[in-house]
Amino acid sequence: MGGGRMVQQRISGIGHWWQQRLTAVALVVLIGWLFIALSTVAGGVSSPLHEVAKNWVMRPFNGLCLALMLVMAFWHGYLGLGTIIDDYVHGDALNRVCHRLAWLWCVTFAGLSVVSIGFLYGGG
Amino acid sequence: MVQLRLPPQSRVRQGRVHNRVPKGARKGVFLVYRYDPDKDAPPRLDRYELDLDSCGPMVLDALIKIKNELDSTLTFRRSCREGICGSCAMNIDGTNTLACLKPIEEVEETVKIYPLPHMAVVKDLVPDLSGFYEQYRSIEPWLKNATKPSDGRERLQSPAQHDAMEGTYECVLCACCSTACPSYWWNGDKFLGPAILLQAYRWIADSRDSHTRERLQALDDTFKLYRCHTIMNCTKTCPKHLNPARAIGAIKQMLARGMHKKRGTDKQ
Amino acid sequence: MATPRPLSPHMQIYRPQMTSLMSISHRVTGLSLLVFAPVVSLFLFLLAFMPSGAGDVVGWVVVLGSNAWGAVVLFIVSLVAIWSLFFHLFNGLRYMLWSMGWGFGLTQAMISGWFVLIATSTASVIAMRSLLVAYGGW
Repeated sequence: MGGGRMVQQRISGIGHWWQQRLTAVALVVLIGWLFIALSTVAGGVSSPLHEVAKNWVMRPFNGLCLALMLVMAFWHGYLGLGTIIDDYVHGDALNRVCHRLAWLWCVTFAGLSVVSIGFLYGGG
Repeated sequence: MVQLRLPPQSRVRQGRVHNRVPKGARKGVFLVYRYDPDKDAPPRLDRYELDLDSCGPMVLDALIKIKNELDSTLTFRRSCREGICGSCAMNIDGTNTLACLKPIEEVEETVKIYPLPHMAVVKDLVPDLSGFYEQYRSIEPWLKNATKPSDGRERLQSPAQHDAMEGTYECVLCACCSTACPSYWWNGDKFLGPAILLQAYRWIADSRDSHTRERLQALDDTFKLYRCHTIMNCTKTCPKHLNPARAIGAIKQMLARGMHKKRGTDKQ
Repeated sequence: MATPRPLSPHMQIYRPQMTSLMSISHRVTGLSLLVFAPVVSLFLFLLAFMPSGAGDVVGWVVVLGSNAWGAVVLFIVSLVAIWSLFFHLFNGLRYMLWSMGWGFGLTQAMISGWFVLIATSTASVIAMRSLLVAYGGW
């Protein structure tokens, strides 16, 4: 009696929990910044939208914050997707495939964002 | 993949009508889930019409009246008829509760009664709770302390130490909360569910138990504990007005603080 | 026993709860954001590597918006994106409070839930309004 029954393979959930909360806190701050920053541009715009957007992203602080925000967003999204997949996708093989696809989706777009912003930062 | 629909053989068909209401009496209509394991037929919903003037106030009173006067084949669990034993847990009017604590008057018009949701049905309103009890056993719900009581006789608690357990030991293990939890529906084989996690916390919070660290370690699992997404259907439905969601939150907080790694008792 | 025990009804019969509806909405809005966020990534990609393409995309959106049905589609898509963002943001704050052990009472959970809905609606209206004003300016 005692002990034996609980020895099943356990996968710790603490790391996932912390990552989810910390990326969430970062996102609250960064999204707050984004709205303040956007509201200052939204006033009077005369040139085409993509020009305005480009000039805005090319400012180092804006680019850095935007890149950080998107990385955090896709990281947080990957954690959330993982939770949803584990909730609903029960077959072992299918579950693993779904996790891979979720990872691919999030890493692709996070990477794309960072590379693009980096390129703009380097002068376009 | 998770199965959101019921399997074909579990889908509920229309059942029979049992009516024994004298003319002019106050009529109550009850739709009750029926399943007979001895017949090769899918579950059905039987309709019972009762004279409410000669019936007790609670849904359990109506079920007993049905069994006594209309249909002796109706099967359900009941014992204390006052919310202490937890036997008559079922789904009434769309939420889980104890039939003995649910006034018929609270339900508008037709009273729909089903067994606890997403469980294997033994017969009629009797679900198979053996998995639930197995999970209860898995958290080792007994006092574990290697040391002898200081006075050699009993382990004393201060009022504050007792308060830390308030709202945990009152649980009657009726399974209303666990079977109200969508996460438990989809992963009830691996997720411990609110009732069992509340009981796990009961022993974690007990100042007389010295195995806090081990208990927390055993709970740190993506499925056993972290399938809880604070949906809060558990707290919403508990017929004893307990708060399993808060207890689970407390366990997660203790784990986040690393209390499963610290030696000694860190209880307030 | 000839047939296996039937599974009792669950989703089919459980009365929708404010608590569970908020929870599933958090999930759905999160998924919706995972569809919209790549749009930002792709636009950044165009800005960096194909600036003329970015200009074209902006042009298409303007053309779409000048058509009555196109404008409706544009309006709905923007509303879904903005609503998702604010709902997930505010309900996320609710989750943070729970993580810190606050707000587990049934009344508290109801109040915080309503607060999330009101804050989301208000912020969405403000954001949609400034979007329309900005759009009119271009």
